[in-house]
Amino acid sequence: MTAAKRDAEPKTRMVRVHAGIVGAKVEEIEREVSADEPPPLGLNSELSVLGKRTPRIDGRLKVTGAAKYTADVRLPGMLFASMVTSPHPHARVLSIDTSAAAAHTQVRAVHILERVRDVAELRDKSKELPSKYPVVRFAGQPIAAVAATTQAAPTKPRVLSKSSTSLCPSSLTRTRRARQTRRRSSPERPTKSGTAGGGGGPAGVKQSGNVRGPVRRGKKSDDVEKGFKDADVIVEGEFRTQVQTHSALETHGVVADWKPEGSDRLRLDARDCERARRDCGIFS
Amino acid sequence: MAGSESKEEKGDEQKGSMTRRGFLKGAGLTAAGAAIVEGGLLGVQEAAAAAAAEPRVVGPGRVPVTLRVNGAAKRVEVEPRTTLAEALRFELGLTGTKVVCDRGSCSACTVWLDSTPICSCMTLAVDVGARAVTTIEGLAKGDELHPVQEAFVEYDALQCGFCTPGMIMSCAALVERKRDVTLEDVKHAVSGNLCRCGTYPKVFEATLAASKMKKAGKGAD
Repeated sequence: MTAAKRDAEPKTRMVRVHAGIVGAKVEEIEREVSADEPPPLGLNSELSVLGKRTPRIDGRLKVTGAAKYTADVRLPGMLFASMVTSPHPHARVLSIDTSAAAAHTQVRAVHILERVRDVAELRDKSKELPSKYPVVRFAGQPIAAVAATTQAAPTKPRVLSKSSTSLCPSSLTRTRRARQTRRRSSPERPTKSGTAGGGGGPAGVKQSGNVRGPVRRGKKSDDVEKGFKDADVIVEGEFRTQVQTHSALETHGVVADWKPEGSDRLRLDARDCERARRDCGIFS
Repeated sequence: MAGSESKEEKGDEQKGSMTRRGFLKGAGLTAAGAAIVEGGLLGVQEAAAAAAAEPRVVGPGRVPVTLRVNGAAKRVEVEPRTTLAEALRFELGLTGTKVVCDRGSCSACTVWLDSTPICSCMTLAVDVGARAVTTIEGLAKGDELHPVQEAFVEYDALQCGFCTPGMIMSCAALVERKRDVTLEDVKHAVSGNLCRCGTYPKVFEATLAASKMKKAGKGAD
């Protein structure tokens, strides 16, 4: 096909299509579409699948309890991992005694974390407190993990209960003044890199005490004052809420099936694919 | 949770091989025992009698327990601290019963003891005794779904499905217990069942429809 001939062909064509809201008003209109546009869909009533009720494909499985979630998977010889977490919001771990865990009949392995993923990191790492283990910066921060033949075993004796910690200052009150005047929970401004705790904020955002921000969002041209002036009604109030985190009922978890021949299989929960992808990284 | 409204039937302690009284004797009426008394699970006189009687010690190793689950007697060996939910999921492989909070806050683990919905994460397996346990796996009669199960599919009252077994056990207990179910009844029945997908409106619709379905004699009795 020559260039001249291609130019001669029309780039668009006119078609008559149905438009509007089903149930309210649907009418036939003429619309200009590109020449290679496929034919328009017919009305729902003329289609066999679109617009038709269809039962949820896994409905029966889910109402009978037959649906298998990751937490329901049991493999032969499977071990259950559970985390030992910090009860303190800010502390240095001085020593960890794993002898009780090692002696437990159901415990197969103890792993002490050398670093914690996705927590806030100091902007100037040279100012970090001297510590053999990662400094605890939020209550619930993982310190170690235990693998055992039963899910309940690690909680039976507090396997790492002999570990000693040195508590550091923390501020748990929520008024702005209290947070600003009290000591920070880290010696340097932290940058929040992931979804775990530890305070801080995005890189470059101002931090004062334990308060971050303010952060300006939206376009610079947005004029809040003008918006108020133009508004018919202004409602003012102060609203507080706890942090609302992703909290699906399905408990997060991964079942890993290590094969000697190398074709490992991971079964992830279905709730947070991005997190699951990151979790997979620890196996690589 | 729905089960919190339920009162334990009198005379239960005679029915079970391992009884609440026996458990409390074993526990020696500790602070936990006192909390159970305060919670209304046990009469004060009964508690006093339990405290005065010779304590019966169970465990700490595994003890044999026979559970009547979905119509069949199942013998398992569990540590005394094992919850009914753990026994169902780990010992009997009945993973339809979900454990989410493991502390009686979400009702995902709801099963029936006889006809009463309870949190299986808050019930010790050794404490079930001879009472009949019904789980989500035992609700349908063969291929014939319970009207509430049928209506949950029909009305799409589920999304991720993790709260669904507990939600259905709460709603089915209501439909079994009451002939003319009202919207308020359903709201009360699932007041302890947490759903983070937000399926409540469809749960209400489905349960009301199931109640009508049952009244009209359709589906399993």
